[in-house]
Amino acid sequence: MKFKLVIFTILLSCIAGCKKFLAIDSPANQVTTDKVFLSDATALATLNGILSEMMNSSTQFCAGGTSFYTGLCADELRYYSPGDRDQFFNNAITESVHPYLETNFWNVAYKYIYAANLGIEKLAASTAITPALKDQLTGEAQFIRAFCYFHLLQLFGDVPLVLQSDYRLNEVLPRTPAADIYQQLISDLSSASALLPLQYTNNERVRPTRWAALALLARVYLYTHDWSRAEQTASLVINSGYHSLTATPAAVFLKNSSEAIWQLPPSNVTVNTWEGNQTLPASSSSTPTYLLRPSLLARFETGDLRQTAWVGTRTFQSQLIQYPAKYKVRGNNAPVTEYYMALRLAEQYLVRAEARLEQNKLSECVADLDMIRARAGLAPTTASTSIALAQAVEKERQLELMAEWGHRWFDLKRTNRADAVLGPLKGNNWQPTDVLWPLPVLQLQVNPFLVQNPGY
Amino acid sequence: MHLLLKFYGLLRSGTFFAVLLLFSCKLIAQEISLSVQEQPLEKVFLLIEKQSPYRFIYTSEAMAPSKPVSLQVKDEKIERVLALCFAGQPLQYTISNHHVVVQVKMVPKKEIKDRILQGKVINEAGEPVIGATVSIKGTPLVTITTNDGEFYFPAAPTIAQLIVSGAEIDGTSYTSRDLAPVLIRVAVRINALNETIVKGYYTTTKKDNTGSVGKVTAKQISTQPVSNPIAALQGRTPGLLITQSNGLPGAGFTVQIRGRNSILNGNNPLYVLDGVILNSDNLSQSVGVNINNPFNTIVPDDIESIEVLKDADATSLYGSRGANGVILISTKKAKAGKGKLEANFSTGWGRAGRTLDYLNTQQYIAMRKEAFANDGIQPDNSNAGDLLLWDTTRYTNWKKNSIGHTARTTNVQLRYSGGTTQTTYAVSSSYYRESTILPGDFADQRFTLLTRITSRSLNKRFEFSIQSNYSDELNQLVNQDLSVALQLPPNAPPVYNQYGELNWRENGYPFSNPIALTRQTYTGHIQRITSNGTVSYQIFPALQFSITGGMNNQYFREKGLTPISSQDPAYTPKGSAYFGNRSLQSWNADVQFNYSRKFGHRLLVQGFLGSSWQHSKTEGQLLNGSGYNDDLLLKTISGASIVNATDHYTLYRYHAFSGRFSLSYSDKYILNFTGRRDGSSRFGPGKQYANFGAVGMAWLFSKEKWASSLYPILSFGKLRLSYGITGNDQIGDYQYFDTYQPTRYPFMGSPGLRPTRLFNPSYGWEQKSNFDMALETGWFKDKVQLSVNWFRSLSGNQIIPYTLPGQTGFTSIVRNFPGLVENKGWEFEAGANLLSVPGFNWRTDLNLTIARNTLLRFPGLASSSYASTYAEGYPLGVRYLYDYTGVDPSTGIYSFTDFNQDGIINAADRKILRHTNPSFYGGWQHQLTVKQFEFGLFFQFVKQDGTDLFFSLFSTPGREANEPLEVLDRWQKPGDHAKYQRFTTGTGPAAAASYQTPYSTAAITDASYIRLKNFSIQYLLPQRYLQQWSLASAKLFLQVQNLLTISNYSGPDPENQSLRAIPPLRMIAAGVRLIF
Repeated sequence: MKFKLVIFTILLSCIAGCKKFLAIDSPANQVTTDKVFLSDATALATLNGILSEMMNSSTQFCAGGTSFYTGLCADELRYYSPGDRDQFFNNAITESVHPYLETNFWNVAYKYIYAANLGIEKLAASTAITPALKDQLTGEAQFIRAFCYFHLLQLFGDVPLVLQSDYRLNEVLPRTPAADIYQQLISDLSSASALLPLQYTNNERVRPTRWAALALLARVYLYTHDWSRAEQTASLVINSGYHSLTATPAAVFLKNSSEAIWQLPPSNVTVNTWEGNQTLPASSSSTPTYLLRPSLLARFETGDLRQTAWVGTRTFQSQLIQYPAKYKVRGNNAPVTEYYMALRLAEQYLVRAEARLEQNKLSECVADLDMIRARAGLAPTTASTSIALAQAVEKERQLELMAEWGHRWFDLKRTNRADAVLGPLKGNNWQPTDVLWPLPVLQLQVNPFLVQNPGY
Repeated sequence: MHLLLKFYGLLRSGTFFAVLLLFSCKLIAQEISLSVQEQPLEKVFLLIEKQSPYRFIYTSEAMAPSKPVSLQVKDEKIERVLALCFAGQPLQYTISNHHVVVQVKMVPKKEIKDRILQGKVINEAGEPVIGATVSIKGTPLVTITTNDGEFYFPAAPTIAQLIVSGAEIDGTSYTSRDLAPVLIRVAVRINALNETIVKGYYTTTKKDNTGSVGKVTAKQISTQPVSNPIAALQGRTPGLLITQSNGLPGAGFTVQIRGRNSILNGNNPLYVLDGVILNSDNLSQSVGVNINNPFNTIVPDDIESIEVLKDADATSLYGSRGANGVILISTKKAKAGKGKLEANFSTGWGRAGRTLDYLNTQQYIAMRKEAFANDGIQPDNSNAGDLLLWDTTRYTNWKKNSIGHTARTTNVQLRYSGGTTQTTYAVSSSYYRESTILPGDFADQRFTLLTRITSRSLNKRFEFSIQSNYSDELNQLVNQDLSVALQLPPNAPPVYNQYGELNWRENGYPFSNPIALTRQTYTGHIQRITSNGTVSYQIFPALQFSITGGMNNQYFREKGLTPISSQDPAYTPKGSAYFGNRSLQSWNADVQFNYSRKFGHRLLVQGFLGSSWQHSKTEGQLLNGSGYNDDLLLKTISGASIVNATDHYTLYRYHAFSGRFSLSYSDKYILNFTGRRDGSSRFGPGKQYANFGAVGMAWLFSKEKWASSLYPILSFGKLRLSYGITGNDQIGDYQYFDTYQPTRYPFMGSPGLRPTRLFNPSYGWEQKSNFDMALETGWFKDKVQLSVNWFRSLSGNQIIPYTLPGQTGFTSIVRNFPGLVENKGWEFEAGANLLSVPGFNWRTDLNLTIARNTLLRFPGLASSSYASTYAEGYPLGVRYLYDYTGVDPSTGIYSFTDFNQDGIINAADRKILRHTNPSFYGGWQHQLTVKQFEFGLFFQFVKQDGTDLFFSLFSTPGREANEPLEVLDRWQKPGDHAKYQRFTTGTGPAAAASYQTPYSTAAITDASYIRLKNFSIQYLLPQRYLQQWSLASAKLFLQVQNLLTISNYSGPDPENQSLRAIPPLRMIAAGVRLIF
């Protein structure tokens, strides 16, 4: 009897002890969300995390992907060897590249949006964070959210507008009309411009400031045809005193160049920028990955300093080949001298030029255009009529923003010039519906409320 | 009779302990009822045999003088019945181990000292054979061997032909002269029905087992020249499907017991090595060859048996950990006796198995030219360097150069064991080396050391056992499987230039030099220490208490080097290297009370209560170094100019409280109940614990009175049933936490964090119910065994990482889901001793599994993210495919049915459902003994569909890549009906179509095969040599693995179905096995 008692005591204690046995701590190399927003350092790290991730792999939308793939879709780039990229070049995107669109554009953009949404929510609820830092981080999160949505909108058209972190609500959201997304961008960027600091920390132009928010906001106004606000906002940036056009085109893309409004520094420091890493040929004897289309090169006027500074040339097997070379450092552990330029002053001049043109302020438009032309070593524009100036603005944008963040592709679409320009160039491959990429097919399956773009 | 359900509590040490610990009540009285009138004695023996486990051993000569018997007894004990039978007979009898040996009554005075013949019967391993019948031909003399294997005839003729026989012995005859003591060696077969079966926490015999258990014995394992014991299981037991993924040494296997239960979570069985839970996860963090399988650290020769536990009853004691079946590996036990030294040496050769032949230069050049012509592209130096810049007459057989070498194996093993009845010991050590079929000096090497000690007190109430198993495996390989070189153009430049340096280009046109890949090395080093100890004490005769502890530590270090010298100097490359280490520390412990008591003569009650704990922790770091300026610094991370580090950490804990209650009535009716409460740290608060249970029953109907009339035609018959519910927690750790994790790179030197998981505490255990029914029979005194098993399992409450739309910021989240997966099927086993005469024995065994996996229910499938991944009514591996309609004779391009007729072939046209699950599989073994020779022949067969590599990997012939010869059957001009589309350089509509063929019905093809998996010859050295060299046993052997594969499969190997991985090797090994 005594034995039985002992046995059952032992067994009972075994059972009692086991609840505790199973209660494990969170893994040593991870931190639970609630703890993250209890201190300034970890809260700051969440925004650092987004900025680091934006530059951690080569082909995602914010590390070169947008420049390359829209450049192929538009009239800027061609690709050297045949492959999947042909589908972009031929504007004949099939499901075989949907996983690529999904991984490098759709999913990553929404990943940053989620991190931004979660940050905005948790920062608002947290009482432990220093108020100034809270404002800065909230502003950065809003800015990043807007930056991602801007690109999603240009690439895919209407996309689901996700503004909070609860996946149970987010997973069933349908596509939101572009007008509403633009509204949100305006609201986010306005709020961010109020919250973000004016000055760069340590002279490193790598964290978004008020000027980054305003620069993107000016672009949004331009895209939404709110000409006067576009002009005003661009003027705020141009007149801020923090930025100036570099003396020569060659200096534009250096790290912390005076023209930089916001740059992304390398997170993996074996390379400077992924774009430089991808565009520059690997060796003196090898071919570059992307080539500039002759039609683009033909647009350069004689003496355009940008052609010498930004176009790489090489004779390969007795053929002259020309490739984008805004960045000069391929990588291979070279010292970091270049950051990836996300927003720069030259674009603001061009935004304002166009906004002024649309408001019929022709001479002011010319002044802005000539700023850009002068830096390129060109004489003032001879265009004087609004029609001629419209063409001049388009051309200047095409050259100044060549193979840069999809500007050309986006411009062709927003000015409804895609059919006229790309139709003749691409021949039978071109369909008017090609201006938008397809939504990745898996997303349609996962979220039955999404509808595919026409033409796919 | 045997007390069959024997507890030994100390679950950990497998059969080894079982034998020592299990006290078996050998002679539980057996009641017999007889009513005979003037019947011959032999008839009465038969009647007794039918009612009891006793078997009579006699010669016909001895029966000659017997008298008829009249007898009337009811429920009498055997001793009394025998006394009555033999009353007045001129015969005498002795009882030993259920054998009644009947002899002519000896008159004591006839025993003359100098006519004594004595001897000993031993098995191939030199161990005594107990209970064998020894008779002298032509005389009524018969006896059986004692526990030491010895026999004794008080009076024998000068020249006596001794016949040794027994249910488990191949008949052997031996002639003794001049009454000299004799040593007779016999080949012992294990009667499948009496085999001990380890079910983890207790052992039983196959006869009385209520669950579904497959067993592979040391003998089956030892005839196979393999380094990984998992490889030795292929095709050997029904319900177990094993696929080898790569033929490189150390590569892993996918193992599935009775199909996929979980839609998306782990379907891995639980592996237990001598009672210690082994982690089957690959510890490698590299993205290279990724070769290292923990099971490769186990030496096949150390293994006594591997049990595969399949149904709810058999696995119930492992609870949820065994939801996908259990593979129990038991190493060899030590036996009491004088020290015995076993030595084993073998060496072998291996070549790639089935491979494809590729185009020669002429054909390749023609293909490329045709492709350019088809595409209307002018070949120029940039797009057709292989045609214009390279020598177009050169030919290199890249297959031969890359994977065409011969691998060598060396295996040395020593084992010393022995002991007293109180304490036994064993030490075993081995070295194994296997090189590769690649160019270069690569090899996998393994050293192991295994020790064990077992001891028990004189009164046998206290026992303890401790053992430790150390294994050190160093795998030096290439960082990338060289199979990638197979598609190099056959006219690619030579690998070395005229200066003997690596060549990178010819006339400025580059190629990827496969020899460069061999300079990019990978080293994986596993050290595994597995130890366990058990202590048990018999508190009362009926109650035993035991504590078992097991520990498994694995340390894994790996290193991948990319030296500057392996890269094209034109790119001014830098070196890079990664250094990974990962450790697994796990322990498990069990406390148990076992109860066993007999009530009356017929009722045996057994049971236990116990508690189990398991703890496993993995920790690891991966350091990526880049920017090395010098190859000499490559082996140290300090030499890197840029270092990037990531780490890994998981902790898993498991606890269960379990009990078992078992009733056995007259050894005819056996009923088992198991109940348990399992807890796992993989679930959130409130969801950690769940209750599971199982019921198993067996009815040995051959013991029923009505069945006895069928004896000996039907010598054994059992019907067994089991039903149980268990759970699965193989979902990965920490899924319920919402967490941030450091980013891979900091931001401007400051740390970054990224969200890694959504908060999600609401999911709980997956549940699996399992029904199993089997009929097991033995015929003609168990010479033929047939069994058929039907099973059906239903797995519900599935935990699914539900694919989330990317717009949520995540791609998946774990949820419980009312999906239901069914696995059902038939398993057949047949075995027969086809022929057994002295000097010749032929046994064959066949197993066959016909199983089907079906997704029965998946609510809301159509609107879920799995809409095109799964289909109700189809197996889980179903694929949605385009309907391939062949090469369009007018365009020469692959065509597909446009189901929705929208003019575009896209996802909406993937309407055809196909799967690649095997429809049946099995193995067929032959074992032939001819005098001193033993031949083994084992066929493995699988009926299945597989991936057609031509329509997936090779679907764009014409690019700058070599293709198999088969692509010559291509379209060339309108009107052609060809198997493959027109050649293309990889652009235009032909290339677009080739992106779709992998997702079409064209990519599914018959991949059934019959493989002569193993062929072995052994030669047992005759007695006279052995004595000369004081050997107990010596064996020479030749073994061949994967000798022959019969298959219609279009690709290289129907098993791994890959072009990027080396097919399973064809191995041949020769060696010797000595016992001193």
